[in-house]
Amino acid sequence: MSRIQMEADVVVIAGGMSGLTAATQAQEILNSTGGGSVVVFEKSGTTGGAANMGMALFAVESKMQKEQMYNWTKDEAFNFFMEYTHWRSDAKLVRRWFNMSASTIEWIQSMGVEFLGVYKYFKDSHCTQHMVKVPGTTKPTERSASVMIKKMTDYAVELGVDFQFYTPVKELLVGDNGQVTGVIAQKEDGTEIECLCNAVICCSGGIGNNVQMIEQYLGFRWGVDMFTFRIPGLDGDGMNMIWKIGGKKAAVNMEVTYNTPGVTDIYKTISETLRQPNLMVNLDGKRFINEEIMDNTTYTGNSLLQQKSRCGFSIIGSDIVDYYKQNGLDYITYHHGVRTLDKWDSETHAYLNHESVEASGLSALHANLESVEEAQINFWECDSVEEIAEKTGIDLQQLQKTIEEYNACAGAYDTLFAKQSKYMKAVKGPKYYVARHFPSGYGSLGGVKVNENMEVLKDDLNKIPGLYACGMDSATVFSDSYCFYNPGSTMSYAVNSGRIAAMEAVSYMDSDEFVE
Amino acid sequence: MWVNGTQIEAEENKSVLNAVLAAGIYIPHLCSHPDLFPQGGCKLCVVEVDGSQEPVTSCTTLAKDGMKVVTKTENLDRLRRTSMELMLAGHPHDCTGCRSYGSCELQAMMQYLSVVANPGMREIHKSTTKLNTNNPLMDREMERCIQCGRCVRVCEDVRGVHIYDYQKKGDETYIGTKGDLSLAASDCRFCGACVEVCPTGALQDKDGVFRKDVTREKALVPCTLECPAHINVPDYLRMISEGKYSEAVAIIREKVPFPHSLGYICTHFCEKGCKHKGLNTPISICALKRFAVEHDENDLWKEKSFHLASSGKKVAVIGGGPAGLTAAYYLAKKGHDVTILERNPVAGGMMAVGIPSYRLPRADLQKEVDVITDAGVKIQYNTEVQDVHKVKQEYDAVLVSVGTSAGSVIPLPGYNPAQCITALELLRAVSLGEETPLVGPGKAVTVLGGGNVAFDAVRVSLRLGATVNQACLEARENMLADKEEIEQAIEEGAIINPGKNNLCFVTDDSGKITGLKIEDVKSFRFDQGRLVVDAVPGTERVIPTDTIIFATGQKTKLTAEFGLELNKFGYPVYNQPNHSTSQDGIFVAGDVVTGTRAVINAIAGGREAAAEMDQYLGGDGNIEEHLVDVPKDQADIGKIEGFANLPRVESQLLPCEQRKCSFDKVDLSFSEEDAKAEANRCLKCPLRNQITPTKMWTAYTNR
Repeated sequence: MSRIQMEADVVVIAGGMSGLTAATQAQEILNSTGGGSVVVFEKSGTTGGAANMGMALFAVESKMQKEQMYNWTKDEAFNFFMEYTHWRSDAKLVRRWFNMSASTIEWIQSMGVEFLGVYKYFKDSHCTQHMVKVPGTTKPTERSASVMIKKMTDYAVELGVDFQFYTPVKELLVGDNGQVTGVIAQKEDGTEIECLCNAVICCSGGIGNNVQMIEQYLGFRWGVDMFTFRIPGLDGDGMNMIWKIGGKKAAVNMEVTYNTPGVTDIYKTISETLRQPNLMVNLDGKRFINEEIMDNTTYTGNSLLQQKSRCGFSIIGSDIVDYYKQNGLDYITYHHGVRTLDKWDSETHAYLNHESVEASGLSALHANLESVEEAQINFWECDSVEEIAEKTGIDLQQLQKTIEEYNACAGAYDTLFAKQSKYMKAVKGPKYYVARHFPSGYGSLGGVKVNENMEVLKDDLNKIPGLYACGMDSATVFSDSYCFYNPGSTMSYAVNSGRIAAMEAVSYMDSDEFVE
Repeated sequence: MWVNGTQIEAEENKSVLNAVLAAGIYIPHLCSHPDLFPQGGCKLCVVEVDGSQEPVTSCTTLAKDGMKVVTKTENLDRLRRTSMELMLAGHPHDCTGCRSYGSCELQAMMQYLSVVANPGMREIHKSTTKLNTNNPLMDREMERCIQCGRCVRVCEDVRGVHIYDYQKKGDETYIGTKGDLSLAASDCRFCGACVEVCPTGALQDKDGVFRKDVTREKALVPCTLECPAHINVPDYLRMISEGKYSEAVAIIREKVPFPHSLGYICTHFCEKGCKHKGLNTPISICALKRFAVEHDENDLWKEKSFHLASSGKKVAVIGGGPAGLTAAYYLAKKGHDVTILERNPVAGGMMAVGIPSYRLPRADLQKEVDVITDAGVKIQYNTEVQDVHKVKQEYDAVLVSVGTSAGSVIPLPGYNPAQCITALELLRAVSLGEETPLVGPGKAVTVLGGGNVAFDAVRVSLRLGATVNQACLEARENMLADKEEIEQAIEEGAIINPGKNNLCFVTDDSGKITGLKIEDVKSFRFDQGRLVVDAVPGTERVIPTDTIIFATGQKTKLTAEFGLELNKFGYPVYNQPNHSTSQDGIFVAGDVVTGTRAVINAIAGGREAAAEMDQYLGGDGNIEEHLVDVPKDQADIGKIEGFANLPRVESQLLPCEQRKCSFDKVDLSFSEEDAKAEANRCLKCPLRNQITPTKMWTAYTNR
């Protein structure tokens, strides 16, 4: 096997949102302090990774927020977040991230990226999402972060960053004093590249696509009780490499949300209608959630995780459908953009006639199914409560009791969970529609233990000289649950942790602490 | 030509697009592909030429001397954005679940053009995306299709198969097969070219069809990848299909010195990899190899076979099995003076004293050994080495390839050595023409074990006139022996007892074994090396038995006196992944390294060891040979009616009545017609590697 030798000041493992930012920031500082080289080894053919699906990033006290008269302060945000995470997350890192978040928006704007404004994600969330503008549009658009990624990539290349595409890093090289001295990467044709460097920044994006690691570290069985996005490439490469050389394992969590497998990805109207704050029960036929919080997908996912078979069932009657047809949905999310039930009839017809089996989306859910019977059905139309129980496996007696109790509170006080009366819509026939929800996840959070400088720590909490981790590989700040109240946090953490890692890596190289 | 004011040189008859791209300047394009005729469909590659404001698609415009091209203007950007928005109108909103994420050219184009959706335009929902989605080997997720037509063109123009076209249903245009027939019913050749050129996730290889832990180029040819010696299977199948048997043998001999023997008995990992198994059954690769050897009239391979001048170095190879003989052969060709020290009176190891002659005729094996001795290798028979260091004193390097020649015995209660024999002892005795008093007419024998060695013992015992039972822990479907071995043994009269736990030998008062007590097994596992059996209560019964044959594993005969450092299982300690040991100049290869494996594994190990030893002895370590020039395979493969369902042609077998009482060879090979037909079923996987990879905007500095 032939091997190519390379040298660089900073090597960045993977060119996703965090790596792209880290490389750009590192090169920018190096250029302003006498020069130096940055190489990004990226597995895929382009930059941005999972963030190409994204739209926006979190910041506080930005100019845009001030212009929109949204005056949530850094201090308030810090206190809120630490309260949310019960002070289990790294306070110094959170403070550093939040304090720099507004200037990061300006830094990105300086590259020519435009923002539409700042948005909430749901009614109770903070207004923190700085929405990337797609040229020629005035509405938030899925995948709009691609536009930012392109601009940043162009800027990085202009600065001199060397991107090596289709070239994943396979191994970290360690020197005699425990310091990281470089990486081994592999090109598509099998040629190995040994790249020696002063510092390595690892941002490989977590384990979202690694089914074995998800089961090993989180206990979920993909496709059975967990339906993550499985973005290709997020295979845990960085975490495994870092653990192999003695990096401390930190807790790995899933950025939990929920979905209706085989429905949410294609049948947007069915999905949105069955995500409204109406009756939800578990397999025992009991309510387990104040459905009003269903717009907080993290909380809903967390709640589903506690149920039998990790699933729950939203049940509505045809009268509720008629109400929505006339008045529109209770909850509207701009990113799905479903406001009316115009497509309800065509979508239900398509799904109920098993066209879902042949349709696509979460490919693996639809693949290799020889017959309709083998496909997982997650949406039903029923003529009676008995039929619901028969088709879904929900306990009939308890379900009848629950519906009776629920309907008794319709339009009034919810004696069980104190849901607002306006969301207490009675569940009556003649037709019933049922959707089964499962926990889902955008990807994983955490795995590598870092400090507020994104320096990777060993088991004894001393650092591995020359090694930094940012982005999802290091995202332990979210503690046990992603903070859905601060929308845009994932991308913001990726970007700001990338910036921090770059700043620290470059200053380390020229400091007395540098380990030869 | 002038591009945006910069002068570039372009070849004549090239399109403007290809000329500009070749000069390192990016023009966005999606429907264009380096290997396909331009179509001008996606309209992303529009440029202005010679000052005209009227844009033209650069893929369909020929470059001309002195031409002035402008690739970026506001107007062009607007046109491109509109085209992109049109393509996105029918494409899913988000990318979740798409396996092409990260390698999708459409996604990269969204980045490049800053167009990620179709604002203000009605979404297009198509009913035709659900047609014909369920096919073997490939997934078609047509809602991701942007109708660039690359699949249509590669199938028609490059492959000459032409099953795809633009179809119409109502007011929808879509890409599909004629009559929306399945790919198989459309006579698809399943070459995968359409998947290869698809810029989105519309056409994808099914998950698991190709391995992901090796380079793509290797993964795309699974037969060659799975073969431990990496024989170029597709090329030799092609030669067989063309009747060029000598060429085929030369290709095989580039990697192994035992093509004929392997053609009889190889465990054919290649067939386990063969992509055709996703359609119906793998190609009969192994048997075709034998056919080629038996029809090679020219020995073409000899013409280019290298043999270097003497190096003056002496090498001893201890053990003349497949690993030792292979290493000896290549070392001799590299100019070294090689002597094999062989314990048995014959060479070939388990091929000569293990595998029965009805599976591997000894005369055919001997011819291949003769090729090795003709290359200068000396063999000292009946020479058992006790101390490797004494040998090393006389030679510059030593290879230890003594295999695993000791059969394991399970001393169940009632064990009586006078009635027990290992399969290896039986097979060796029969191979060397020795008496076998425990196995013969009137004897009831029970063979313990479910691997190929067990079935060799079963079928040999039948041929010696015994009545035969077999018993093993594994359930029938998990038995390790080749399927055909099991089936043929049953046909010959063996009674197999899979899924059984051996409880004890039943003995009479004198201690003579009269039977084997067994019980049914639900499941079993190994817990830290210890067998844990979940048995079915009340299923105990006795198989009446005079003789027990153990085919329950093999180990090395090596002891500490031999002079190598051994691990706790008795195998020599060596430097992975190399074949060297802690003793300077002493190397190891074959079963003695890997444990009992197939002949092809030993051959592959022998090659690796030879390369290393040659380097140790001062050579370059290169044992690769190019024995024959064959033309590159034609990209145009054409249509074959009913291709996907062409049945596997099996070789002829000697009728059961004739074979069960003789040691004549069982497998009678193919007719020439059958062999060619079978070789023609090949999916020609390597053709996919001939397709030029596309480049995204990220690959261009001038963009």
